[in-house]
Amino acid sequence: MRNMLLIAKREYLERVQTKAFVLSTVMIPIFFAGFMLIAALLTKKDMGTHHIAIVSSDANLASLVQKEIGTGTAGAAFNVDVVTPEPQTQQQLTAAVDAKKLDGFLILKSNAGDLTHAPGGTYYSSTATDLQMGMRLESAVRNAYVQERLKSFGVPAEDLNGLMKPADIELQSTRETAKSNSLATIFGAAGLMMLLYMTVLLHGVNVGRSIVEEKTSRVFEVMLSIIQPDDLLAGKILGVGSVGLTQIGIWLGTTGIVTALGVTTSAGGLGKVREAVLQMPAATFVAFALCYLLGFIYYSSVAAMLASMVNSEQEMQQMNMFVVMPMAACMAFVYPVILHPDAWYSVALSLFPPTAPLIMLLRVAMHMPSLLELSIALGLMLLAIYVVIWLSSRIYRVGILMYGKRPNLPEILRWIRYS
Amino acid sequence: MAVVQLENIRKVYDKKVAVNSLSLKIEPGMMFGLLGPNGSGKTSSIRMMVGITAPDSGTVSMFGEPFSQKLLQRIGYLPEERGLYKKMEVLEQLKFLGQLRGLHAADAKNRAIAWCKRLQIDEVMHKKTEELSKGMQQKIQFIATLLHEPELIIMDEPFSGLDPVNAALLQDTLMDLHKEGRAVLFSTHRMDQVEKMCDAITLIHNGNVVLSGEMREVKSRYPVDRVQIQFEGDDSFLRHEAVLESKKFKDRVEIKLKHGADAQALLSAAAAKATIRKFELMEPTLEEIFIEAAGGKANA
Repeated sequence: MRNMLLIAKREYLERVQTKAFVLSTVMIPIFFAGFMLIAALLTKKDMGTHHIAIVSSDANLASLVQKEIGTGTAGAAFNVDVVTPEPQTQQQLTAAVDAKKLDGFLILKSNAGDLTHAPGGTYYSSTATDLQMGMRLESAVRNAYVQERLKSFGVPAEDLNGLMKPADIELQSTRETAKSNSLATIFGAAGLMMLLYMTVLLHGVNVGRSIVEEKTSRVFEVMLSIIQPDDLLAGKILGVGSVGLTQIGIWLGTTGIVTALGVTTSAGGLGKVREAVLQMPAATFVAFALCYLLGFIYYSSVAAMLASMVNSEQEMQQMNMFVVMPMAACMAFVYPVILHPDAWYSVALSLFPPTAPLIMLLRVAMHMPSLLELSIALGLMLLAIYVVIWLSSRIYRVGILMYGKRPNLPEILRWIRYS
Repeated sequence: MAVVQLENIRKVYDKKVAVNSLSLKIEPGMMFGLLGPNGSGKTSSIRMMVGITAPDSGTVSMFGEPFSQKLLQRIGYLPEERGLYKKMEVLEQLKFLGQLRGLHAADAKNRAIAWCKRLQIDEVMHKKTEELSKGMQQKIQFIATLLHEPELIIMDEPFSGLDPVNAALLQDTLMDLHKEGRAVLFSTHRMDQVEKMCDAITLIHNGNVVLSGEMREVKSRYPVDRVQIQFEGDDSFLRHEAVLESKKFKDRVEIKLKHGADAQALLSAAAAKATIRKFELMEPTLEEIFIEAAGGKANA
């Protein structure tokens, strides 16, 4: 244990004292924040004033559509003209679009007396891929048509607004007494999944790189004549892993402080996530932390095992896919697991060590699995980590003495037997 | 109680027999040489001694008990493949390696400083390893091997790559440790070093032991049939019936005598033809013994 901690300390200090660590710790959040800011600015620009025209012979319907288009579109302003169709109208409006005097125009078609369908139409603009505008127009035309019809049935004008509003439905688990914002919790779990994914990509793989470096610099033989390979590998995983956790800790801590000081806005999705996090039970936090830590250790151990088999960083990069693949596979199961967190496949994936950390994170976010399931998952993860480190150390001990081509499976099995 | 005892150890990698039925015994305080050409199995044997690999068969005992990891604290091992953490400062590196071998941080640091002074590298103690020459790095590894004052010192090709001054410095240090009563095993393909330093040797070739025993006893197995002559004048005495073969050098000639030949008769014949400055009857060198024992075959 003492030697393992000494190895971990050396690996940790060697990395956190570098300029690269300080730079990446500062620059990565700045980089991401910069991108988010640019994206937000671009979106805001996109939400500027849109000038469009509605071409319809039904002046009443066109007027209702004109009113509906500007409703419920925060940040965006619309300047909508209503145009009565003439033979040259389409050509004139097209010329206006080409001259950038108009963003687009909608030609409404009558439903020809078919009262079961709202009237359709065609929206012309410089690009046919303005999906957001397409959806907005569909909604506006439908709402305008429904209002017109309700009015014709004699529904009072003051009731129309209430009737057109969407119903407010809350989702609440029957097994949890605390009220929770499920959408925010899912976002939280997905965020943690991404964090684990990125941490493994950034730092878990570094464990493998550190082993390859040790092999190429030939320090391994001195180390193996002093300490057990198990201690060496465990120390590396702990040391290099702690570098990643330190960085994540700094980022999360800074975000926490900034959020607590109210620097970021509490409005919108971020505010809801913050609210959900603050309402989260302590057990969920513990489960999240365990999934994260065990996941990190497990994937780092796999990276260490793969590194023991290769001779260079190039070969290691090829092997990295075996670390990333199970995590990528988990991404494909996110939606089914969110929909059916208690289905047999969700339970199986949350117990199977290569997928357990990510899928269990998601299940914990949806609702806390039973203590038995959590215990089994924890036991299997710990066992898997032990087995992977045990195998790694045996492969490492012989692998470092072998040069040349990458070993095949029978050779690896023989290496395990050698030691 | 033997410090090291190997009994019939064997190691095979795939189809290559690296070590075949090797037995040896190193007593306390003994300077032991493991000899052989490149690829003969020296490193494989040493790796089994220090537990980096396990023998396929046979037993390894250290300090009178079967090998176990805890015994490594009593051993100092310098591998043939040199390696240090390049980004670490010399003193920090030595302290770290000392701590791994059970020393307290302060103790490890003090010993490291003392050793650096002894080996004349105290001016680079605060430099990063990557900034140092290969010879300097080798000295650092040498110190790391000895920092915890091991009872048994195992060094694989300790003098390779060193300039003559530094090689002599490390040789003297090893001899000092030997005088202190520590057992030392080192491997080399340099027979002259072994001849000067070792009490006992084992000579291996292609994984097999070709010669083993105490230095004097090994040499006594071979007849004293070499003659070195420094002379001026006629060299026709080289065709004397006692001469089996001869090698002429700039200032001397080395002669191997026929089995049972009379060296005195050769001296008389030489003195009759030339002016003799030196006539020395020599025992065979270790190198000659090895070549004879190994049948003159070298490894690729």
